[in-house]
Parts: sequence; C-alpha cells; structure tokens
Amino acid sequence: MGFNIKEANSEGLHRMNAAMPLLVDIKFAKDVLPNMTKNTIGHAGPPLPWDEMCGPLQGAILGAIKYEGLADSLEAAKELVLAGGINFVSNHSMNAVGPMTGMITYSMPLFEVYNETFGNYAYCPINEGLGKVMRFGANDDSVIERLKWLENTLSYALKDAIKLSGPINLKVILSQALAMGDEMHQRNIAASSLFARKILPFIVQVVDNKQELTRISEFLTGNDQFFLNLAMALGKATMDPVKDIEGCTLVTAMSRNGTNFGVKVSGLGEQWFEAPVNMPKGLFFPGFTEEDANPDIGDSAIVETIGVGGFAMGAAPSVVKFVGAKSVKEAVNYTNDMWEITAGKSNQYIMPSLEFEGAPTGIDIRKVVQTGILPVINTGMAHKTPGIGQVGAGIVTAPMKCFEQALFAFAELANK
Amino acid sequence: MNKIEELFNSKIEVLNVGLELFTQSFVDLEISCVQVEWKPEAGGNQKLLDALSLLEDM
Amino acid sequence: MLKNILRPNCYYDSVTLMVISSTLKNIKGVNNASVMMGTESNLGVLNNAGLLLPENNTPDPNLMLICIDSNVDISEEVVNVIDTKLNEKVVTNGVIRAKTINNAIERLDNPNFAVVSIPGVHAKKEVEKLLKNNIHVMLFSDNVTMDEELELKQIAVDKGLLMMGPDCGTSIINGVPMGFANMVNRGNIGLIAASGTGLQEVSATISNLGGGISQALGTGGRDLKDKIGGLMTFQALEALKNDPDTNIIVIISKPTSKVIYDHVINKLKETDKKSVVCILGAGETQVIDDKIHVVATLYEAGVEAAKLSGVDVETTSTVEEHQVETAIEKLKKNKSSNYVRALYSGGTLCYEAILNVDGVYSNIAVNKELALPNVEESIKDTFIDMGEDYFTSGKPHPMIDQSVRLERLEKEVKDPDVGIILFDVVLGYGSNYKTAEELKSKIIDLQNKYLIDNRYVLFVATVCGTELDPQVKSKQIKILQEAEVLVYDSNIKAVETINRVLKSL
Repeated sequence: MGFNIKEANSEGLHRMNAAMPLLVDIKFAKDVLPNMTKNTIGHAGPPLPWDEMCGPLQGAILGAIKYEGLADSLEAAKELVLAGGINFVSNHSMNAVGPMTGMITYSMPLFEVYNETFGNYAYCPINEGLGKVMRFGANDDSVIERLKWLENTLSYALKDAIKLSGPINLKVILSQALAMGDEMHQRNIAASSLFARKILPFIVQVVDNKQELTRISEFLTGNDQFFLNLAMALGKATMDPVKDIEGCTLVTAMSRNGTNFGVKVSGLGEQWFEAPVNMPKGLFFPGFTEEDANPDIGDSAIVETIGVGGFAMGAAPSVVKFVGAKSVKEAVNYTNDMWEITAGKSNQYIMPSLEFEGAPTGIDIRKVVQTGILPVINTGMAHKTPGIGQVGAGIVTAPMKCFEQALFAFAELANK
Repeated sequence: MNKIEELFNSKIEVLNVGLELFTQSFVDLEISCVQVEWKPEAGGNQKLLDALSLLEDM
Repeated sequence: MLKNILRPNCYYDSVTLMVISSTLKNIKGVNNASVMMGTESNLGVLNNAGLLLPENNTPDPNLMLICIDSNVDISEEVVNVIDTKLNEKVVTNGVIRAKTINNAIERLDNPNFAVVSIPGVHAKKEVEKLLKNNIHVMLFSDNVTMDEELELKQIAVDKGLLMMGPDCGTSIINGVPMGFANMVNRGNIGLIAASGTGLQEVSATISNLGGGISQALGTGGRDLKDKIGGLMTFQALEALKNDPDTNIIVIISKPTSKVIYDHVINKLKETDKKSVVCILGAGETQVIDDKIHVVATLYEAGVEAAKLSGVDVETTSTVEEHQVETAIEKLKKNKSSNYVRALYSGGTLCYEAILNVDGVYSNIAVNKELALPNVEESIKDTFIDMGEDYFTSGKPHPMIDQSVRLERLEKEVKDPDVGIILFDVVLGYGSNYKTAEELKSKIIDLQNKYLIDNRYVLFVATVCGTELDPQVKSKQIKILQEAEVLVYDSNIKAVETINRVLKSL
C-alpha cells in the first residue's frame, strides 16, 4: 500500500488547525446521537463488559439507570444490567465525549458543538459541578435531582440563550484562556469565567423566574471546571474530521474507561488500541492517599489530543502545584517533550509564556514509539469507591503499548 | 566546499548529542547549544525499529 | 550474595554510569558493584565480573541494571548512593535541552555543527540525520564499522560537509574548542589530524610559542587507511587551502600507505601555502619543494609551523639542568634495575614516546616482540596507553576519570625494580579538571608508603595545554611540582629526559 505519510500527516495537522468549533445549541441525546435508545448508556473510554468496569463506572451506570427511570433502586438497576437489559456504548462512537465516568443517556441534554469548517457535530453533557456527582460514580437522590434539573430547566435556559446570542466561538475562548494560565483540563477557571461572561447577558433575557435565574447563574459561575465539558466537545469536534486520512499516523482519540486506555489513529480507522491504564501520580486532597485513587478514567484526554491540557502545562504555571509537578520548569519540560512527539504546532492555541509558540499539535504514533516520550495528561483522580468524588489531581501518561500496537498495525497495512 | 567556507564564516550553533560534559566549553564561550538527551530509539526493540524504519520514509 | 535491580526505560549515558560505578566499591560492605545499561556488550562485562544473575541475561539497551555483590543485603544503601549521584549529575545551565535531533534542529536558528558521542552501534543513523540537515559533524563515538564510516564520509563529501571521526573527540572550529580540544590562540595555522592528542599537543605547542590556530580539523584514526582513502583528510585539506585565514597547513598522522602519502604530498605541492607534515613513525625529516616541512615529532611540528607563520620561536624549559642531574644521582644509589614505566592517557603521546625510546614494551607496541603478553603486568621498560580499548571496556577514558591509571600507578611504584615513572596530564575543556591534583596526592601518598629507606623513584610528567585552558597550564605544572615531579610542557621533551636518564644509568 503506497501511502504518503508525510502528506497525510500534513493534511491531518492542517485539519486540526482549520477547525472552527462553535457552540450552537443544546440538544437531547435521544434526538442527535446515533442508535441512542432508552436502554443505551454511553460511557467514557473504549468498550468493555460490566464485569471489567471499575467501581465509580458501575456506580455511575446504576445511577444513570435510575435517572432514566429504568429501575427504582440501585439493586434493581444492577439486576437489569446483569440480565443484559442495558446496551453499553463507547461515547466516542456516538460523536460524543463525557468526563470521568462519562455517562450519556437518552434524556440527557448535551452541548452541541459544530465544527463549521468541516460541518461535523460533537456532543458533551453539561458539567454537573463539584463534589457528589455522577461523573465520579455518585448515584444517590441528590445526584438524580441535579441531573433532572439540568434536563428540565438549565438545558432550556441555555438553549434559548444560545439562540439569542448566536453561535459562540469556543476556539477563541480557549485561546484567551490559554493566555490567562488555563490548560483546559485541570484548570478551566479563566475559560469558565469567559464563557459565563459571554452567556449570562443572554440568560438573563431568557429566564423570567428570579429564583430560577439565581440558581442558573450560581450554577454557571460557581463551577471552576464548567468549561471542561465545552473544551471536550471542542476537542471531539476538532478531531473527528481527522479520522480516516489514508496513511496518517496522527492520533484522533485518547480515552480511558477506568480499566483500559484506548487510542485511535487516523489511518487506522475506528480501531481502539488498548492497554491497561497507568496510575496518575499527583497530589491528594487532605485526608486522601494513593490507596484511595481510582485508575485513570474519562474521555477528557481528548483535550490533550488537540494539544492542550497536559501538553500546554508550560503555559499554565498555576496548575503545577495542583497536579504535583515539582516546578514551573518541570511543567515547561513537559510541553517541550510534547513538541517532540507531535507533527506541528497550533496556529491558534498560543502560549505567550513560551515565546508565543503554538501548542504541540498532532500526536504522531511513530514519534511516541521512537522517542519513548509518552503523551502526558493532567487528570483528576476519583475515589475508587463510587460516589465519594475527586480525591486529587495528577499527571498520568498514556501507555506505550497502545502506540506500539498501533505502529505494528500501521506497518502491516503498509506491507499490504 | 562552500558549506565548509560557510561554517568558517558563521557563528557556531551546535547540537551536542550524547555526553553532556562536552557542553561546558560552549556555555563558557556563550555559543548557542542544544543538549540532545539521546537515548536508543524505541527502547532498542528490533521489531519496533523495523516497523519505524518501514514507515519512516513514507 | 548477588543482587540485581532492574530499571526499565531508564537510559543514562555510559560515562555518567561508569563514573558512578567506580565509586560503588567504596561503600562499606560492597565486594563489587556496577550500574550499567543492559546492552549486549555490557551484559558480557557484568557476566565476566560475576555480577549478573542468569535470569537477567537478555539485552535491552534502555534497561538500567544495578548489580551488587555483597555479604549482606545493602542494596538499599547502594541504590541511594546511585540515585543521589544521578540527581547530582551535572546538568549544564544555559543550554537548551531536546530529546531528539529533529527537535534540537528546530530550536536553533542556524544549526551548523554537531558533536556526537552516543554508543557507536547507533551512531550512523543519527549522523545521517545531521548530514541530511547540512550540519557538520564531529563523531566521537567508536565501535562504528569501517563500512559505516565510508558511507557517512561519502555522504559528507558529496554534500561538502565535514564528518570528523569516528573516534574523533577533538577539533577547533572558529576558535571554539570541541570535545577535548584545548583553548588556544587564534591565528593563521590550520591543522588536520588523525589523532586527538596529536592535535592537542601540536595546537598547544603552537599557541604556547606565540602562534595561533585558524582551524583544527580531526579526521578520525582510520581516515588514511586505504579503504577510506583519506576522504576527510582531503576534504579538510581543500578547505584549508581555500581558507583565506589559513596560511600554514599542518598535517598530523600515523604512517599510511605510500599511495596515500604521495597523494597528500602532491596536494600540498599544489598550494602556495607552506605546510608541515608530521607522520609519527615515518622517521625522516626533510623539506620538499622548499615549502613542505616533514618532521618527526609533534613538538617539532608545532615549532616549525610557528616559525613559518612568522613567530620568533623562543624555546624555554620548565625543568632545570641540575634537577635532572640530581635525579640521576639518586637513581644510581637505588639497588634496582630502575625500569621506566609510563602511564599515558593520550594514545598518540604514548605512541610518540614508544617511537623515541628503544626497546620498550607496550600494549600498543609497533614491534610484535615488544607487545606485552599480559597488559596488566609490565615488563622491564614499559609504556602503557591507558586509553586503549582493554582499559576502557566498561570504564571511562582516563582523560575523564583516571581511577584505573591511579591504581596502576600504585602497582608500578610498589614494584622495587621501578625507578622512573612517566605520565601525561592533558588539559582542555573535556578533560577531568582534577587530573594533576589527583596525581599529586597519589604520588605523595606513594612516596610515603613505598619510597622509604632511600629508595628513590623519579617522576616525570608532560602537561599538554595552555594558559587559556580552564585548568591553566602553569597552575597544573605547579601542582605536580609540589610532589617533586619534573614537569615538561611537551611530550618529546619529557621523553628526551627519560632517554638521557636511562643512558646515564
């Protein structure tokens, strides 16, 4: 098979840089996700069977079943699963992504992000907030109540606000936030603030009830990580057009399901290349230790896939202490390392503190294997017991095995 | 010959690939230098090296 | 008991690890210990030393092995020492860091030179990358095959680039010392050398006499062999012929085939520029065509070149006549054979010495009958190149770390039949800054230990370097003189004194 990897990668990089991700609407999963049924539950990472799932993922799924009204209790929910009554799907195969456990179900409202350049859509749920939330595996009544509020109240407010404001350019917000010290994975405070600033003037116009308005604005402004989900949808929207370029060795997706880490490569289609996830190394909130941490989980590695998050750590000195890096210098070294394994630099995600260089863009599996440098991801750490929540934040690397397997598959393809 | 002539008439900008002890003179004389922290490609795994080799020039 | 600790994906260069390894034996309770990368040849070394457990015999160049032989398990302590030293590893500030050549190239505006010192088996690939990017190369790595060398030099010649090496650790480009080179005056004398310490000795001599170097180009030790055909020598020669800043050309080499030698002379005839040719071991001194000065020693090459460049050469001596006479008298009183043992770090300096003293045994003997059957055991008058492969397999070169030389020094001084010790101290950026200091301490130590009851040993040294070197030549000479060493600033002068002393005994 005579491909031109150089050209193909160049095309891939070009498509990443040409993306124009706009927040255009709020849609319900049932209306936009392919093959979404009442019994379908989308989760983060590559597909895996129930019995291989980690605690928080199982906990989240039981909660999701309750949320959809498919069972009255967690026990009943479990029975339903064991009876084969639930269809588990990898979010990525539904044009969607979700953080941590990544629950996406029939009735959930999703951010709809439109990549104007290529005409594709990507979806991500609205960030629930901090503490006891489904993305960390929590599934009690408060969690369900909040999700219902998102479904029945917030989603409509946002939908109407976006209709009024017109499409919101997420690329610009991300760029501005990057220049303000965010990396969009563990630090989204500037981006979330910029988004709030953008949407609130329209929210106030579309919500009449003062109590509702108060709850909504508190929700939108009280969560430092609110923008994470938008960044993820932006990432998915950016990467999907890079799929299936013949001869392209760039990574189109990185994701974890709490058990396995999966990588997809442009020239290798929809195949997941998987290996057991690594354990993040970082800092724990008071009272928690390494013993408490769940293995790496979430679709949020899509943020690193487009070159920010851990890749842009050099531009986000404030995240350093949070993720347990030793120093700003070490953070800069990470970004330097990521430049070694990527095809090029972003034309828009610029890092002023690093001489205005563009973020490392387009992970090349060949370079990863050649140099031994692994993509670095800034990640939150969940408690391994479902429902307790985040116990810390740290740095985790993608497993080398994924890239080695992908490389062999590529070589085999080349030999045909 | 031109390239050697060019070298003799240019500011030295050097890559030091390997032993770091060789960079001291460059630092002292303020010569632009990049220290390449070289290590064996693909961890020395021959199968991977073969695959890389195949895909390298494509 | 034997313990092996394995660290996958943990690459460190051989020099760093060897220097650390040499200190591990000092840890209390350690019988023997080593930290090395798991390459095939290193596994061989570890096996031979009885440090490798059979289950760890699989090569992996990215795997670090910590091997400890001790009576009780002190591996934790050993690992702590290793980790502390790895963390202390000198990381030069002020240099940009990259992990690959391609990335490094992007980090500079106009990269034009590279020094390559990685394991030889990987060198060709990396040098090709550099040449492809129009970057001149100095290749210090050895264990590069002749076929690889030929291929690389052909690429370089086609592209008009320098590919100096393999096994070339010394050059001076635009006044910038590369690798082990000395800091010398800038001037109008250009050097082409097939040997590192040869280049160092000549360039230092020229600079010390008041002359200066325009460019000093290495070619690697095998360049003038028929198979390579002098590709780099002739490339360098063309460059110097055309260089307006070079008026005198000096060529330093060991003997080559007649075809190649004649070719060199013909090339030199083609230029109006005066030249000096020093083919060590070729013997004859002559002047060809009134412009090509053929000399027999490195010092003469330096003197002749300086003279041709217009310097009024004044030869001075660092040793006074009476000092030599006193030494001879003391040696005569020894009830011993008064053998001379030389321990050289510079291979070419050792070679030059062997050529100029009759009947010495050596590990690099030209005459097979004078080859040491066992390199560890000196016979009568013996000159050893401590930088030769035998000593550097698994150990750092003596110019970087002279632990092995110091051990051998003790062995020689302990031998009651030894009366004279000769050694070199090579200065320059890449060399150990403490060489003279360590030798001084060791010598004083040995004098106290073994040179009692009227037994006398004469220590003679040659220091190769300049006042501009970071070690500062005069400082190093002074340090050695504090141990009563007779210190010369050129190899042949030291060797001449040895001859003189031997003849007087």
